[in-house]
Formats: sequence, C-alpha cells, structure tokens
Amino acid sequence: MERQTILTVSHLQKYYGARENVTRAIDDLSFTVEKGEFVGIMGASGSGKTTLLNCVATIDRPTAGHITIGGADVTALRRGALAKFRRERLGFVFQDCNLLDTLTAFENIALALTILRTPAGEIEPRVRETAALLGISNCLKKYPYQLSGGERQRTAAARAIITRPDLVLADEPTGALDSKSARLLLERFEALNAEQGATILMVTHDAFTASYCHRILFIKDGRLFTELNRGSDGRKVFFERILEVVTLLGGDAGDVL
Amino acid sequence: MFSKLALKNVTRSVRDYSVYFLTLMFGVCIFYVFNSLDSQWVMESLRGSSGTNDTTRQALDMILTLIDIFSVFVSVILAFLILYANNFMVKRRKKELGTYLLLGLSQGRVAALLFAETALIGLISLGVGLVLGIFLSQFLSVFTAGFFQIIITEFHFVFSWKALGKTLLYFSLIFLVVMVFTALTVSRQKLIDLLQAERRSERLKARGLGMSVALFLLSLVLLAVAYAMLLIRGMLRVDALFYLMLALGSLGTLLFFRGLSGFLLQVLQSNKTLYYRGLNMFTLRQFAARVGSNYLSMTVICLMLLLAIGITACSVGLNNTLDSITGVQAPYDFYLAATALDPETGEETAVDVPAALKEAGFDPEVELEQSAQVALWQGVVTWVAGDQEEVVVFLLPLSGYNGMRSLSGREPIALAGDRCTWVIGEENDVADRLAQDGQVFRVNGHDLAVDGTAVSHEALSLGYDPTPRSYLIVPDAVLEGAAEEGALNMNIDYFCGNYRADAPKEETEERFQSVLSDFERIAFRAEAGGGGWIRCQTRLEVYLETMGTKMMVLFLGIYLGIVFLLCSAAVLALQQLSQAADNVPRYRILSRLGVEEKMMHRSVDIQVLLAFLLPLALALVHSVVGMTAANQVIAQVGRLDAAASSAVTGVFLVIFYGAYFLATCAGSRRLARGR
Amino acid sequence: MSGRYWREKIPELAALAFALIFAAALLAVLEVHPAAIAFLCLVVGLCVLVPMALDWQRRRSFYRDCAQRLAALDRKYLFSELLEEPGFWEGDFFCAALAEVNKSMCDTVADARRDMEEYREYIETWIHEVKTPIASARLTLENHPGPLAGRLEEELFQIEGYVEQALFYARSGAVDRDYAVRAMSLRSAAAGAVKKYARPLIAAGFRVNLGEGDVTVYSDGKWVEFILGQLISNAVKYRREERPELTLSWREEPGAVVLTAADNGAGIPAGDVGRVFDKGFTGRNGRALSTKSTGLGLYLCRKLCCRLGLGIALTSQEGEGTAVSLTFPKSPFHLVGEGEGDKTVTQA
Repeated sequence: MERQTILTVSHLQKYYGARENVTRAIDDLSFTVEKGEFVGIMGASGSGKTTLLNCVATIDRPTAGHITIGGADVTALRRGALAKFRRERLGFVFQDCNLLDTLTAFENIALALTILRTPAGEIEPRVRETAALLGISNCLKKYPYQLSGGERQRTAAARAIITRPDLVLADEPTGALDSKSARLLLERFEALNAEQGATILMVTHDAFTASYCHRILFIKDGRLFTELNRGSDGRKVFFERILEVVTLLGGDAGDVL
Repeated sequence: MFSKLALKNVTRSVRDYSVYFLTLMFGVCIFYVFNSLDSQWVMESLRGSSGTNDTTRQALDMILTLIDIFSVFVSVILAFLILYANNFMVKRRKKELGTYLLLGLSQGRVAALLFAETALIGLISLGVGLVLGIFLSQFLSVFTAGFFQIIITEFHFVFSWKALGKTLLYFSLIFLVVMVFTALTVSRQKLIDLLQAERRSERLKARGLGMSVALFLLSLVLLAVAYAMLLIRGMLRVDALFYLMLALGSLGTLLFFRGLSGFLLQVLQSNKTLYYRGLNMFTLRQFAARVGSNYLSMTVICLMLLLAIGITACSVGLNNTLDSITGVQAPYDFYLAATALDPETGEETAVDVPAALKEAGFDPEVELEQSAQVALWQGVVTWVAGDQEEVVVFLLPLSGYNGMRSLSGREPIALAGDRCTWVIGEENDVADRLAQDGQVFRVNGHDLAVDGTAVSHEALSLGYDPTPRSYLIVPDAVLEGAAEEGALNMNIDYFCGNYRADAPKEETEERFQSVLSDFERIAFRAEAGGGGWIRCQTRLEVYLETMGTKMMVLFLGIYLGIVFLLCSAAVLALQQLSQAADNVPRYRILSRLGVEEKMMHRSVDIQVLLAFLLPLALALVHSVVGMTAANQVIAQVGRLDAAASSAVTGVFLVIFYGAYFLATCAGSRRLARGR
Repeated sequence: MSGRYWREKIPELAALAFALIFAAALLAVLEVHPAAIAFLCLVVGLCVLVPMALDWQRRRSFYRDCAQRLAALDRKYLFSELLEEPGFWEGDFFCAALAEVNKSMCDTVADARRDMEEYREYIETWIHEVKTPIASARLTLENHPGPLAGRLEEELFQIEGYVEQALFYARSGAVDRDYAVRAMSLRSAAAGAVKKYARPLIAAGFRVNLGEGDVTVYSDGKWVEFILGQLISNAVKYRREERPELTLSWREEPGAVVLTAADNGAGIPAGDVGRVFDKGFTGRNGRALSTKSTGLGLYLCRKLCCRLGLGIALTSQEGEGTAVSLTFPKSPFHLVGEGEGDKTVTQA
C-alpha cells in the first residue's frame, strides 16, 4: 500500500520569550506522519507537546526548523496565508472552549464551511452527513450549554472533519471528559480514521487515550524520547507497553536502572 | 507603594478605558462652557449696550438662572453616567480586586485603593476637561455673536471664575459620591465571586425565536397606535390619554428592541445564501444574544437619543421660527401712538405726533426715511348683498394704507371714490366671500363696491400686532364725520416710520428713545396739567425681547441635547467595548479555525454598527413623528424651520455620535485582534 | 531616537508653520483682531501637533522597549521571540521581517550545529575503533620483545597521544560541554599524568619531583590529566640532554590554587613566548626538532582551560627552562559542598 507522507516535522526548535528571558520549549524535534495514520504524542506537562501541536497547527511560529503539511512548508507562509491554510487544510479539536456558545451545534459545524465560502446549498446535507458519522444527529438544534461534554467534543470533531482536512489535530480531547464519554469519542476517532481515512495527530498525557493510536511519540524536555508502534498488538497490550514507557518518562535515567 | 499601585492602575486605565476618560472630560468641558455663559463678552456687550432695555436684561438674567438650575439636573445625569461607567470598570477588574484581597489586602485598603484611583482619574479628567472647556468657551462666544448677528468689533479671551468654581464643586461632589458607591460595592463582594468573575462571565442564552417575532410585531402595532394618537390629537392635550400615549410609545420601544434580534434572525435565517456566508451566522447570533440581554439599556438609549434629537431640533427650529416671526411681526422700525387728555375737559384729544417729535428734538423729516400716519377704525358696516347683514370690521383710510405700503417699499394703490378693498390677514371662507369683487358694503352711509383687483392678502401687523387681521380699505372721504355717527369709531392713530438709511439704525434709535420723555411732556402739555397715554414700540426692542427667548431656548436646548447625546453615546461605547472584551475568547476560537483578520474585523464593525445605529434609527423615526406634531403647534405662529434644524442636529449627531462610534470600532477591533 | 524622529519631521512642521503664518497674515490684512488670530493659530497648531506627539510617544515606547530587550538578551538571534507586534504598520512590518530573518538564521545555525555534532560523533566513533588496532599492536609487541619492539612501542605511544589529542580537540569544540566537575586531588592528577608518560620520561632520564602534600580542587579530572600530559610531553620534547628535571608543584593562594609544571629544558626565546598558545605555532625550537611539532598542544591546553574555567600562563627563560602554571579558582560556591562527598554537577 503506497503511503503518502502528510506531515513532516524536521529539526523543529521553539523558544519562548518574555521581557528579557528566553526558554527553550522544543529542541530539535523531527518526525513524519503518513496519510491515514492515527498518531499520539505523549509527554509530561511542560515537555513541549502542546507547543509542538501549536506549531504544527500554525497557531505558533517555530524558531527554527520546517513543518511540511500536504507538501506545503507552513513555516514559510505569511499570516494571511496561514489563516487560509488553517481553514482549508486543517481541523482542530481542543480540550475545551471549542464551540461558540451563541451558535447551535449545527451552526458550529457549518461555520467551518461558511468561512470557506461553500455554496449554501451544499452546507446542510454535508453537516447532517458528518453529524451522523459522529452520532450527534439529534443534537444539532441544541446550544452547546445544553449538550453534555462528550456531545460537545463530538460536535467539535464533526467541525474538524467536515472540511475534509489533510490533518486533524487534537489537543487533549478527552481531558475534560468522564471515562464513558471519552471512550465514545475515541471510538468515533478510530472509526473516522479507519473508515474515512482521516489522519489524526493527538496530544495526550493519558495512557488510555493514547492506546487508541497506532503510533505514539514520547516527548521529554523538548526532545523525542522514544517511539512506540502498535504493530499488530491489541489495545490492551499496547496500553501496557505505553505504561512502561510512561514510568520511564516519569523518572530520571538513573532511577530506572 | 500604595500610591504607586494606584498610579500604575490609572495609567493602565487611561489606555484601556479611554472612552471613560473622554466621556468624563467632555462632561466637564460642556459643563464649564455653558456655565461660563455669563462672562461671555457677547453677553456683556448685550447687557452693557443701551439698546437693551430692562426686559431684555431680565430675560438674560433669567437665562442664567435657568442654566444654573439645569446645571444641577445635568450634573445629576452626568453623575449617573459616571457611576455607570465606574461600575463597568469595577466589574471588569473583579479578578484583579479578588487577587488583592487574596494577597491579604484588607477590604478597607482595597476600597481605599479604588478611592485613590477614582480621585486620580477625577483630577486628571477635571484638569484636562477644564482646559478643553476654556478653549471651547472661546468658540462659544464667536458662535453666539454670529448667531445673533452681532458684529464682532473685538475679541476678548474669556475666563469665568464662577464657572470654574461651579465645575470643580459639582464634579468633586459627583466623584465623592462615585467613590463612596464604589467602596460600598467592593466591600460587599465575596472573595470567591470576585475571583471567579471571569469564568462566570455572561453566559449568553439565546431565547425562543417565535416569541421574539411575536413581540416585535406587537411592538410595531403599539408604536403605530402611539404615533396615530400623537398626530391626531396633537401635542397640547396633556390628559390621561396623553400619558397613555407616552406609555404605549415607551412600551412599544421596549418590545421593539426585545423582539428585534429574534425577528432579524428569523428573517435572515430564511435567506440561506446570506446566512451561511462567512461569519454572518456568528455576527447575527452575537448581536441577537447581546440585544437579548441589553434591550433595556437600548430602550433607554433610544429614548435619550430621542430627547437629544428632539430638543436640539426643536430649539434650533424654534430659533429660526422666532426670527421669521419677528420679521413678520415688525415690518417697520417703530410705531408711536399718542392720545392726550385735555387738562380741563379730560377728553381725549389727538396729538400731532410729528410736530411734537420735532419739538422734542427728533425731526421726522430728517431722521426718518419714510413715515406714515395710519388711523385704525373699527365698527359696524352693512353688507349689502344678502340680508343686509351687519358685520364688525376694522377699517383703514386709503391714505393710511398707502402710507403703510410705502413703508414696506410698495407703490400706493388707487381707489375710486365709490370703491373699497380688502386686506386679508386671516384666511377663511368668510373673508373669501367678503372680498369678492363686486360685493357692496355700506360704510358710514356710502355704498362701496369691492375692487377685486386691489385686494391683497398680507399680514399688515399694525402696531406689531401678532394676530393676523383683515382690514377694509376705504377712501378717506368716506370716514369723514364717521366718529359722530356712532357706527364707527377711531381706535388709534398710529405714527409709523422707518429710520434714515444713511446712519446706523442703533444711533437713530438711541436718539428716538432719548426724546420720548420730552415728547410726552410736549404732547400731553404736562405743565398745564394734562396727561395722556402713548403706545410705542420699536423693531429693535422686539428683536431684543425675542432674542432673549431665542437665546434661552437655543442654549438650553443645545446644552441638554448635547448632554443626552453624550450620555447615550458613552453608554453605548462602554457597553460595546466591554462586550468586545468578553468576546476575546470567541475571537480566539475563530482565529484558530483560520478566519482571517479582515473577516473578523468586519464582524466586529457590523456588531458595533448595529448597536449604534438601531437606537438612533428608532429615535429618528420617533422624532420625525414628534416634530410633525410639534409643527402643528407652532404652525399658528410660523412653520418650524425643518431644514436648518435637521442640518444642525445632523452635525451634532455626526460629531459626537460618529466620534464615539469610530472610537468604539477601533477599540473593539484592537480587542478582537489581541494576540 | 526621539531627536532623529523630530528632525525628520521638520519639513512637515515647517509646512505647518508656513501655513499658519500665511493664515495669520491674511487675517491680519482682513483686520481680524490679533487675539482672534492668535487663538486660531493656537487651535490649528494644537490639532496638528497633538496627534503627532501621540504617534511619537507610541513609536518611542515600542522602539525603546525593543532596544532594551535586545540589549538584555545574550542570544540575540532569538530576539524575535521576545517581540510583540505593536499595532502600527511599520512596527508590524519590522516584527514580521525580523521573524523571517531570525528563522532563516536559526535554521542555518541549527544545520551547522548538527553537522558539527555528526562530525564529532564520527571522530569519537573513529577513536573508539582505532584504539582496538593500537591495543592489539601493543599486545603483539609484548609477545615479541626486542629492541624493535621497544622502538615500535614508543611510536605506538605517540600515536595514542595524538589520538587522544584528536578526541579532546573534537570535544573542545562541542556545544555541549560534557565534562563532569567534581572534587579532585591535584596530587593524584599529577601522579596519573606522570604515570602515563612514565616510559618516555624514564627513557629520557628525567628526574620527576612532585609537590608536597595535596590539595583538592573542583574540575574534571580526566581533562586536567590530559592537560598535564600535554605539558609533560612538551617537557620531554624540549628537554636538556643532561639531567633533565620536571617539577610538578602546587600552592594555595587567596582565591585560587596554582599548579605549576616546571622543567629545565631548552626554554623558549623571548620573542616567541607571546605566541606559544597560538594555533599551529611551532616556533624556532619546534622547527628544529626532528619530529615535527604540530603546534597544537598548547593551543588545545588553553582551549580546554577556557572550557574548564581555569587560567593558564607560561613563563620561560631561554636556555634555563619553562614553567607553565594552571590556576584553579576557588569560588565560595565550592566551599558549600565541601565534605559532602561526591557531587556530580552536570552542565547540559
């Protein structure tokens, strides 16, 4: 099966500054993501994973390095072109504050299309179709405050994929959910990945969430620590393998041996 | 350290809450400007010149008293505005205040901190506002002079200690009240509420659309009813129905705003192409949600704008009307009528006015350009046609009428000995019939037929009479001996004149006024014990009287109009800016979705535009109806000058309202961008 | 900056002044009261100057801020991470352009660093690899003793010396300073270095004196041993023929410990003393030697001393001898950890 590389991160560096000091958040990170993969990024807080996601999402600009998405080097784009790129080629699911509280769920999803100036006639059928994929067809007329946390996140996911983006980026999507809603959401992600061929890059600190991925990159102190491939393992086995690495990540090299 | 903290907060406030500052400064400025009226050199020259008589002086004093009274009213309004704005600022800083409390600052100290900040803000805005006010008061002088056609011979720099003192006093009081209020509010807050204020910020709930549409339609009905009531019944019948009309109008306005958002949404949602385009969904929903929670304040703003527009327009219009009224009322420079009482018999005797004037030192032939002696007769004449009806009319001898014509620069008319003619001042059916060519009237035994060609429709304004009258013009001969007959009698013999053209009218007027007492003495033969009475008025006097009224109306109107306008615009601006700040997380979501800045700016602009425009639009509709009704009242005296009043009101609107609108747009855009 | 700003505004201000003067003159001719003219000019002037002043203030605060941050930052190529876009066009343009420039610079620097890293790793790998054949060569020689073996042994020793030099050279240029600062005994370092160079020292007939007692300093033992080794090697190379002597001594001074390696060899001509630490400097003596001197030894010593924070100084008298002293600074920071055993401070 010929696989095409959707995302290439090469020698990414990110420094943050405030007033007179700079701190290094990411130091020389490189990896690739193929089309149709479901990749997870794990690490402790402060390890730089959210920074990484922000850079890939073109919300933040890296200090050095290149990020290529779907063949385009996003680090070379100006701000206006970046916004265009974001709305056309990327989809986002964040931990919270995903949806606009003054719009119905339907309108929230449709927003991703209206800002692309999609013809009005196309919008409704596509929204319904995507909502069906995520199992929220009966939520469409409601406002976000009337929906449960899981339904909100699934609405956000619907909005993320409705534009058929190259890459779907998720930042701790299950962070604010209870275990049942989390499982529902992750199963939907899995289905989207398997059936619709959506490429998903998910950042999480939770091993359970990560176990749904095919491949996991572990970040520590801004660098790639190790990589885990699910291979043909079942989810449970993979989950245990993840836990092993997490234990390692938690301490120092000297503590493990 | 405390003062440093207060100072730092204030410098930060200056940037973030520039609208608040500007409003304060303008408030102070306007207050000072209008209260410095008495030291304006225009007023001084008006009072100083001998052309003004006591009536005018009284009028001027009354204006100043009225301004004093209204200033209290204005300062109360401004106090509310400042309180509102301050409350706003405190609400936005809840988290910060909570942090202070958390760090261990006692509530007393926090209150003291706010105290210090308010005091500082107050001082700065007082200072700047006063400087600005002093500046603008110079403008006011110029403006006043121009408006009242007073020639500017010199230009003084005016400064009013009294206004300064008043401004300082009133505003210090206001700030004191505000500080106390703020301290009280803060001290009553619970720490947890303050800290969580951000998270609990307005959860915008969208309401049922159906009800909104129904309310909107109901509001339209109510407003239509109120308008009808106003137009049909007129403004002047202040009874129970009048209050009902006011209530209906207010309720209608309230429901209008309450239902507007829902209605708009329904309408626009049906047009899918428009709705599903760019950020239109978001903009409309935002606006709907905001109006849904702000309809009360929007109603208040709309009504305040109505007051502002109405007052300004009416006062300006009234001014121009008064001008034209004066022109109509006093078409010539003066009239003088004198009757002497014979010292022995006590009977009324005629006075030779020109001769007496000449003797008194005012030679009519030299001083006057034209003059006319007009005797006003009144009595019963028989209308020959029909049933020999007897009508009571005013009559003028032809010579007198021709004299009046010459005063206004017209050619005299000629009448055959057996003809008469009419001067119609008041149009109605009766007058039409009476003035028809060929109608015959028996006057003092003579049968006269109406000469239709000589009939003129004009307001003769004999004796500066404001009431339009109709006069029957008859040949002089007809009236001979009429007094003895009894059917007719002579009312007054007017001596009217226009001053010489080769000297300034004020000088001639002065001379005229100065000889009046001598004239009386001579005319009544006072040394011989005689008496009499005179009636005299000059055009300049009328002018000055109305000028007093004009000024009062105009200044108060503009004063109040500006204050109301300022308040509405300031409240709107503050609301919009705070809403923009609340919207920052939403704009961040949009930015993450990849919406470009241009689209977001447009959404911001539309929201601000709608918020500013809708109350204004409704207020304009209200005021058009209101002014039409007002016109009906003033129509008796003259039409409200619509063009000038609209222009002036328009200018004020554009300057103040427009400036606030632009500032709010810029501020909101900056907040939306906030990276 | 402010001065320059206003100087560049002079044409505009001049135009304003001209316009005002013209207006004033015209009004004076029209017999308008001078106070009115003055007032009018004042108002117009203010209306133009106040916005100008506000604009100046805005720009000044932004640019001054920039200058301050730039001055305070040591890694200046990261400057654009500190910038916040100010909101006026020029400032935004400036920030955007600077960000682009800095990014390209950082990319280039990162590439260069990576290349250097790879090269260093290669060298280390190579050195590791090359140690094997040297060791096996030694073994072979031990199995076949003889005069040939002795000579070859000396050459092997030299080869090893150069290999070690290469290693340290590679490490000295690395961005990551991977040395471990510990408490170490000067005596044992000196003894270690002497022991390593025992063969050539004995072969040359050296008399070696070690200083009295011991003193503890804080540095990387391996590196210090290597430096001492280089000094010993130099002493051997430029020895006097009869009764060569080498003294390694140390003394405590206020704020430092000074280790001196002194020999009684050929010495260095006065003219060359200033240049001995230069890279590739061989000097008269170096060229006179049969074995060519690379000129790298002292250069490397100085470089490593810089890395370690040590001072190095050389004094010499031609014909009398040479003395090189290393200064180990004693900082109060070190005193804190005294007596607490082995403390590893890793500099990342």
